[in-house]
Amino acid sequence: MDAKTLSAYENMAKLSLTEDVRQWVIDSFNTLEESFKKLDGIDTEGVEPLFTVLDLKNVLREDASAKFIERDELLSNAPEEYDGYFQVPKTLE
Amino acid sequence: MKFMMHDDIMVAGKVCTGGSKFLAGFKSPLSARVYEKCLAHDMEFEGFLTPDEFSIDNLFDEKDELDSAVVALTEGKCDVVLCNDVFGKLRRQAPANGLIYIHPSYGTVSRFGLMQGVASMDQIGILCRNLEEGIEVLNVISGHDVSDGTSLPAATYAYAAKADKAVKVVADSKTFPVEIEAGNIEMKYADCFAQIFYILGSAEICNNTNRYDGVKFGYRAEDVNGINDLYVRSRTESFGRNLQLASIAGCMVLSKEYYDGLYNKSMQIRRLVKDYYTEILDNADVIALPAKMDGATKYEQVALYALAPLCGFASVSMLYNNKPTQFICKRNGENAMFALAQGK
Repeated sequence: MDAKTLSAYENMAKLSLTEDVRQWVIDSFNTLEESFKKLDGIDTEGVEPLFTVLDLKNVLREDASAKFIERDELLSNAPEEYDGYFQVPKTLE
Repeated sequence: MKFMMHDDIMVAGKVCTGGSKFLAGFKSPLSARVYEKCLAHDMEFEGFLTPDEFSIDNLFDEKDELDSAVVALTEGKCDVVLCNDVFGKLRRQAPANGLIYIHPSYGTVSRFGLMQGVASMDQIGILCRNLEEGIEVLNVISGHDVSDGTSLPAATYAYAAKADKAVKVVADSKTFPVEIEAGNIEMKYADCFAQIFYILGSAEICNNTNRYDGVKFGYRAEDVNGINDLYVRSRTESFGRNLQLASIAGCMVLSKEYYDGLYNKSMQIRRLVKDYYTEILDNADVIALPAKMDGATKYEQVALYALAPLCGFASVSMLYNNKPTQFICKRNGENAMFALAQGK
């Protein structure tokens, strides 16, 4: 994992690592990437990927409305709100 | 019975942080199903404990601080702690501290109200001092929940340390020696367990923590310069480094460059693993594994704890014949496993 590649993944993850964390992440990645080589030895040709361990089928419930949470309660955890809405900085230049 | 919970299992109106600075001060709008069930069975809630951030174990530093749940139980603050041990920290630490960890079969205990980490493997389990109390609590918290899409249909389960016949145990005694008489098996794919666990786990953590962006709830950085800066700085300033590593690793394994070779391949290997070990457990009741590997790093030791979550199996981690041991079984095989663990 070089600095340029790491930067690209930081950008995707919406993170900007501090220098001490960056070095630790690079060291950890070296361990991980070395260990990942083991996977090359396993033949998975034609094997269906396993997304979930359950054999459950999707069950549809009746389409009925239900009140889950009040607006005020939802907004009570917001870092900033304005007139009943979430407030964020300007998103378009 | 007195119980506590890691605070990634939520209670309405209470501050639930999931061990993250991001959620400092976050008041949950809902209560976890397991919490409601415990109260309905007259269990007394003694309060929250702080987990590692979203229960992500610190795998790449060898310092192994005791989990808050282990400390609470050894200090006698309660009888059981409910927690989500996906990475194996509690299954590693419980036997070493004379405690027992019960990891239920996937789908038997509702995860409604649990903060998601590794959704395909998250499973609320029970840290306890004695097995009988642990089984009693498992009977309380298990059963179908319409609010959890991965909940199995059985309304209740009748768990007990009870076997109709001699419990058939198998183990790979050469590679993973245990202090119990067992038939021999090969622990196939075990040298890839930690890798596929981390690849799938980081991908899911990365997706599940994308919601922590500083917009609707949680930590927001000050004096930001536009929306992207808000996202980046809010996350960077409030995420611990294990979560930062998992988020970046998740982006990597899900990227165009690595998706096929790492993420998809891990899901394929997961199927091979599930098929292989399901067949083993079609012909035996319990797989025995050590709960600790001397000389191995914490990341390498994930190989010991990954099998149950990867396959949705149940497990019990405990001292058995004075050795840290794990017993693993398929769903509906729990009673034989508990009987073995109880020495019945």
